[in-house]
Amino acid sequence: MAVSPESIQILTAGGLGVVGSAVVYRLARLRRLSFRYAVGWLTLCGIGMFAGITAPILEPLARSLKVSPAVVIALGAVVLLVAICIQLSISISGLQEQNRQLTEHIAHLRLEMEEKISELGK
Amino acid sequence: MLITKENTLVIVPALNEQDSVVDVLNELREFGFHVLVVSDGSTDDTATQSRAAGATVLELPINLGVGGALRAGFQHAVSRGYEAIVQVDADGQHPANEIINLITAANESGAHMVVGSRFISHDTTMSVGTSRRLVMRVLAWSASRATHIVITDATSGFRLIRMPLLGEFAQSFAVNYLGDTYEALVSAGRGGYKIQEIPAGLRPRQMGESSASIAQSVRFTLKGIGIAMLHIHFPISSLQDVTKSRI
Repeated sequence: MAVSPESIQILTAGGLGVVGSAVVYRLARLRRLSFRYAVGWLTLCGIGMFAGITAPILEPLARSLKVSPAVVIALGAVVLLVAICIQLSISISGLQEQNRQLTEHIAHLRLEMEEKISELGK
Repeated sequence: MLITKENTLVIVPALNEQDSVVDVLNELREFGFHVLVVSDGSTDDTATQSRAAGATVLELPINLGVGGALRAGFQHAVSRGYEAIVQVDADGQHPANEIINLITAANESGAHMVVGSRFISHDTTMSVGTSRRLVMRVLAWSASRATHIVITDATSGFRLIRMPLLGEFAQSFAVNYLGDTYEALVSAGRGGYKIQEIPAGLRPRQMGESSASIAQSVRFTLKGIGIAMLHIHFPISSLQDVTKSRI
């Protein structure tokens, strides 16, 4: 029985989704990935895993866009990936500022401590 | 308030400058300035040698970049009640005797930021390569456009900053390359703070190389211009808002 190219694409997406979910789950269990990011990545993997189920639902949309359902799924995954990247960038920017403030506080506290020790020495 | 030697803190941001910082500090001490060295995550003896030379040392445990070191210095100055700060490089480029000129200019004009320009001076001993000079010209042009003030040297790190601009910079200051010079000018200018340039005879650096290559300079220049054009420079309260909140 010949398998259509669409089926291969959907099966590949589903397979990658299963592997991705397993990796994300393992990282979350090892606490290398916090809950909020694990949820984001699992959602993305979920799109891949259920590609086969969602494909028929996406058929009308895909037809109106003159693309295959697999392309619609891939497009959705790209949008979600971009959203996760933007969210990560926001998080990193916030962490950079927090890191900077912490570094400044340590330096000020260290200087105050040195001055107090110097005063006590006198 | 009148700026004097006593209410001015000279901030020297330093990253692994053990070979030149002591000479710089000795020169500053001859003129009787209060000096703060901000060791920006140095892994050499910069902090120890600076302390031994009699300077107060703020030691950042990790490297934050010049802007990060300066903001920590600004915070120290504000918390200790200084009216103004003068940024001086640890590589010996900025002669201590020129600091008095910055203070005099700030007192005469009332400027919130006085920049020592390498390009309106007649006695500078510093030579700048053609490509680097071109980059500096582009940045000066961009800063002039953004602030509506004629700027000849937007990347000079030799400058005096006084209250209330100093207080604003202690809260918000860029860490990226050119953030402490070009972007600070743009932020201050757009915030309505008075900026003045005076000639400053700067010397060639005693030790080390410039922190950026030509390719990096071009990249950072484009980034800097983008920041100014898109109005995404670091935010500070305008002079008008600061004045209103004080009333």
